[in-house]
Amino acid sequence: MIISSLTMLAIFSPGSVVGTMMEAAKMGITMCIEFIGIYAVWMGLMQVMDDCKLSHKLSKILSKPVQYIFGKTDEETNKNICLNIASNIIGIGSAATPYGIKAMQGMDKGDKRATRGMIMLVVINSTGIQLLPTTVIGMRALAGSVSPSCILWPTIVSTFIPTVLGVLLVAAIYKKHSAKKKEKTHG
Amino acid sequence: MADLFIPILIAFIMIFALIKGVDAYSAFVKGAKGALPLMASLMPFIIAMFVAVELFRNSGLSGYLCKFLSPLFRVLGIPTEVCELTLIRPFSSNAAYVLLRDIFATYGVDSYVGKCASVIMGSSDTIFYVSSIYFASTNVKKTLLTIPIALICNVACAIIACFCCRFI
Repeated sequence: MIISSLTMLAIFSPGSVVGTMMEAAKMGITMCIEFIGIYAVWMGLMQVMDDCKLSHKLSKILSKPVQYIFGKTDEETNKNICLNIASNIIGIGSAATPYGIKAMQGMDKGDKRATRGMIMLVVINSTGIQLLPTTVIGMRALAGSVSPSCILWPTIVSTFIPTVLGVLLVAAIYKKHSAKKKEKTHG
Repeated sequence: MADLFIPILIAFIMIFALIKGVDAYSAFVKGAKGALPLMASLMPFIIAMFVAVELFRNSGLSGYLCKFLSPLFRVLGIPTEVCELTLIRPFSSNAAYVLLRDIFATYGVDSYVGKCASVIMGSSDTIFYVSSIYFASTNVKKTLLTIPIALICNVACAIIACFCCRFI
């Protein structure tokens, strides 16, 4: 992508290459500084939530549905999945990743093919079940929006429906796979 | 309604902390302290992404790509202005933040396009990054249909996002 862009620029306006790059770097730094402020506020609040064990409470509520969606997993993995989803929901993405990785390792049986649970977890994580788009709300506030959090319910709707869709797709496809496997073992 | 949600949530957390006997102030400070090191570690990547994205756009390449794809996006009800953002989002959230900021500056935060972009940004994630770090920790070599399913969900997310934004 960068090479093709550079070639295009070099052909059409060679003088603007360095200028563009420096201007971009300057904008990058400005954004970093804005982001420090945004992150400081939300990470502070999340630490408070974390110290109150709010994510642990949420993960307990999630435990039953998780068992239903993921099927048979050992207790440790189930707990890690719950904590991963709970951290995602309240917006501590950085806390979610370690739990997610632990859960992945828990489901890993040394097989070269991904299992249903693994696919499910990655799909759920990549549709971003975050219910509080903290960074975006912060950016909107800084950009002078009259209502920075008016995007809240559309975000929740458009994160929830694709997540359900993803879970259903994985469930449907997995059934096909297991049916095929069964046929093979029977044959 | 939505404007009230965040203040209420913050108040709820504070009251909850009070009941639980957690020192909210020191917890807040502890968490906020993490912002600077986090940003310092992300800064090189953000700058690299900024440079790459700006080159990509100034060269006109992204313009051609979006012109090529815009009929498809129109059918799905996604405004052409957020086309770039939708394409970049699964690959890099830093690059997507660059585009989001630009959309805010060009079209205004409270415009329809600005809202669509915010929702898309908030409700999707970097599929390729997430799946690579998650699978990297296991022995799995074949990820089967993980990426296609995640991408389908992402497109669904963009369509729903733009649809919902018509009502706010």
